[in-house]
Amino acid sequence: METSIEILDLTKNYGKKQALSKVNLTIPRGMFGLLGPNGAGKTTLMKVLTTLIPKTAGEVKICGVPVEESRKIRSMTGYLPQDFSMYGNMSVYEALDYLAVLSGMGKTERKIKVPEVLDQVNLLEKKRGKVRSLSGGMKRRLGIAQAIIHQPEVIIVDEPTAGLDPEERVRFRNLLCEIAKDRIVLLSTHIVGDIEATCENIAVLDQGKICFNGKVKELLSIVEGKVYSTEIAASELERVKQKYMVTGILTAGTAATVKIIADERPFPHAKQVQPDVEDAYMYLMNKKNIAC
Amino acid sequence: MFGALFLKECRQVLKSLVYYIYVAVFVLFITSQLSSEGWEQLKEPVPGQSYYGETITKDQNLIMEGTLANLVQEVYHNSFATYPMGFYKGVTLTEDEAAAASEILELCTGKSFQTLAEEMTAQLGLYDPNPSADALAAAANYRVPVKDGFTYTAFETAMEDICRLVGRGSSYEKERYENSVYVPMTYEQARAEFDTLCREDRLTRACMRLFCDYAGIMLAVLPIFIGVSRVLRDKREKAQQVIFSRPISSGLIIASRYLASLFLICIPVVITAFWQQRTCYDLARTLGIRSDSWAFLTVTGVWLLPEIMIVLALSFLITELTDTLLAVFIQVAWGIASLFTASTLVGDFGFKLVARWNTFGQAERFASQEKEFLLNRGCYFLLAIVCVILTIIVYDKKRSKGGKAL
Amino acid sequence: MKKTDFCQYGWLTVSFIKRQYYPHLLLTLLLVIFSGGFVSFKGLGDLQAATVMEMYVSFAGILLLTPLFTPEQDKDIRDLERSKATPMWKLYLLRILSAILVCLFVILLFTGFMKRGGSDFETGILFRGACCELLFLGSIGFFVSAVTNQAVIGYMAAVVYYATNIGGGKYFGRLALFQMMQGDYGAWIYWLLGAAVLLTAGVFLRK
Repeated sequence: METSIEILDLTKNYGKKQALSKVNLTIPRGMFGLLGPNGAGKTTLMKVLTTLIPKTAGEVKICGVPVEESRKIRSMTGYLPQDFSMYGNMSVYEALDYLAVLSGMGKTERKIKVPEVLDQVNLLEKKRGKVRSLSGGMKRRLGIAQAIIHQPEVIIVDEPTAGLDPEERVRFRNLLCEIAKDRIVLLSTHIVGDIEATCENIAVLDQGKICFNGKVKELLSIVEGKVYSTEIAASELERVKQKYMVTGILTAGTAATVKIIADERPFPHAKQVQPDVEDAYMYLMNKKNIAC
Repeated sequence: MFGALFLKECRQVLKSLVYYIYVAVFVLFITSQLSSEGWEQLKEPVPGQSYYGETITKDQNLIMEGTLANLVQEVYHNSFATYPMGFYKGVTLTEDEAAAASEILELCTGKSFQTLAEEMTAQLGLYDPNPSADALAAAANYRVPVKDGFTYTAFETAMEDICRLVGRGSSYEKERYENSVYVPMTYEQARAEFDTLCREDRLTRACMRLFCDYAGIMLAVLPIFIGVSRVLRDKREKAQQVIFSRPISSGLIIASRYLASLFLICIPVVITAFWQQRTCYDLARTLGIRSDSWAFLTVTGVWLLPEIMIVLALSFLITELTDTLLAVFIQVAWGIASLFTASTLVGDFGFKLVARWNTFGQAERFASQEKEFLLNRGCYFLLAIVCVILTIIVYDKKRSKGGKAL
Repeated sequence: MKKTDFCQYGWLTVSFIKRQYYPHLLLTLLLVIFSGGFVSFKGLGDLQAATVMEMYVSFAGILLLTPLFTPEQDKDIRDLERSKATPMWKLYLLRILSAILVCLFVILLFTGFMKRGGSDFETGILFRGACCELLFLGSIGFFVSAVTNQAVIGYMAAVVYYATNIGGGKYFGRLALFQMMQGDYGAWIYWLLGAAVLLTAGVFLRK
């Protein structure tokens, strides 16, 4: 069976509001980043993939299985929702064991897998602690533990690093990369840094439509030669911001170093610099009318 | 897998405060109510006693006399007890209506209402909150005879007229007056009753029927809260999405939750039933009767299990459908209405949720209504299963619709 | 209270009613609409009128006072509201006052129904007793909701208190319900004190 997600002309409407419009996407094995602003339709797409909401039109197949076969899909996917939570009065071990039972795992299998996965996400020491006493990062790690406990072929994680401190965010990204070695991990986020650090393939979703689909390098190539850095007077800042797309400002006294995206050199003394994914994303969002 | 899930759901219920409140209230209620029953004082009837208790009569003359006696009292006080929609509704007639009721009485008895009232006060005397055996016998003996030649058919028509005056749910509806006229028992009847209690009920069954009567009152209401609280827990703890996305079938989730709650609700019921049965068991031994030691399981199983099942199943269904506390309001109203609808505290099962049998014994009377009782319990048993199936369907729909209430 | 404060608190209360409280008001309305089928209003004496108030109308107290903390059952919402300048106790007080006003209106309505039905009873005494009893029964639900952070347990406590009072009033002394229908009108002060203690304790716990 091929390990990929095939999405063909997927549309999802909430009443009159169109959340997804004719989305076409192929997600191969490995980490796949789904980038987009808040309200772009990322969570809707993930919920359709996890059979939590029905699609309005189109076709979706996960490893060759149509999404309509919810039981099969649920056994081959692991889902970490945006606001993951579990019964607060359960211990970490109990919560994971409970969700493992709901995933159809037998007693012997659970006895081996639950401590193993808790160890993998670095929560073994906390196994007796109550879920309600966990910090945001720990809760998110428990979330990923429950998503991988039944060894699914596809893991879908929705905004997993939102609200985490930098150290916890790095740890979490590394964990996802480890997991993605032999399966699909679909990571949805609006934090560009997460994608840059973990994904080779990405798609950008905006207002329910795919604006970009390809490799990170391809995304960077869109903005190649268009990112400049220059020093200006701090008093000029407002005028420059109005005229150009500014993606970075560093103020020092009366001077400010700005990072500008422009099709042509904005100032004679501006230096061309290497773009990053954030620059490319910002450029894409700004030019979305043309790109879409 | 079901076993593991069932045990986990039991642990969930055992961790909820609602469950412990249920256990405490149920046990306190049962022990406080049944401790005052005093069946330890049960004695064989002896010839020459002034009062042996009462029994229902099917004699048409006695029915007419008993019903009219009741009517005289209610017209005299101008206060009619009715149960139109469950709750007690005291009806007071206007002057014209009261006069019409007096005329009907005069038509049935051939005496003026004035005379009837005088006879009544002479017979019953003043209200005594702690009546002696003699006073009870006098009240039970109070009868108002019909005039000569007054037929039962004419009586039925007269009672229909009374019903039109006082409204629905009064004691003057045919079904009620034919099952509610009591006459004092004779020694022979009391002896036969005692023998049946020993032979048929083997004491413990009678004891358990009375236990079920009290327990049924609380069990019409308390399981609602356990059901509502369990169903709303996923939403409250924001665990819906993660549970919905698991591969397990909706049937297994709901069945394990339902059966775990049901099992744990039944535990204190069975334990208190066994505890209460002990006193009767000891009494039976001293009286030399071979009691039924399994009555605490068999009688409560048939009597209370269907009630708990339907109350719990309906709370699951309504809460799963609405994601609100609506089940609390609907079902508390149903439970209380069922309790207050009873025209008698002994029998009259119909399709009432709470089956009343507030008496110790009367095996023959129970046997005569057993079919109706079993039909009632059987229906609720089946209805509970239907409700659970509907809950599974609703839950499954919610799972594929993002968890929104339907 | 300044005019702007008055507007602000008024807006907060209206918002609470519009978003969370209206289903309970609708249920209270149903309790009133269907009352004719359950209880009689015609020609009642003192004790019968008290029965109507104590056995039937008292449910309005449970319905209206128990769910006053429901918006804050979610800890995040509660923390967010607590971080704002408006003191929580003022917010709760306004909700309690709104609930009491509706309770008074319901009692007044039933008093009117019974008077119109030609009933003869001591209006003032029954009205005072009914208000205090409703408030007390509702405050049980209010307080238990405050302690447990679950409206369902609040309802359970109030309903259980009502049910156990049907046969077991003797265990609750002067705080027992259904005393007026037995001719004892002196318990109102105990109900009022009980309600005051429970409501204050509830607000104090949640502020």
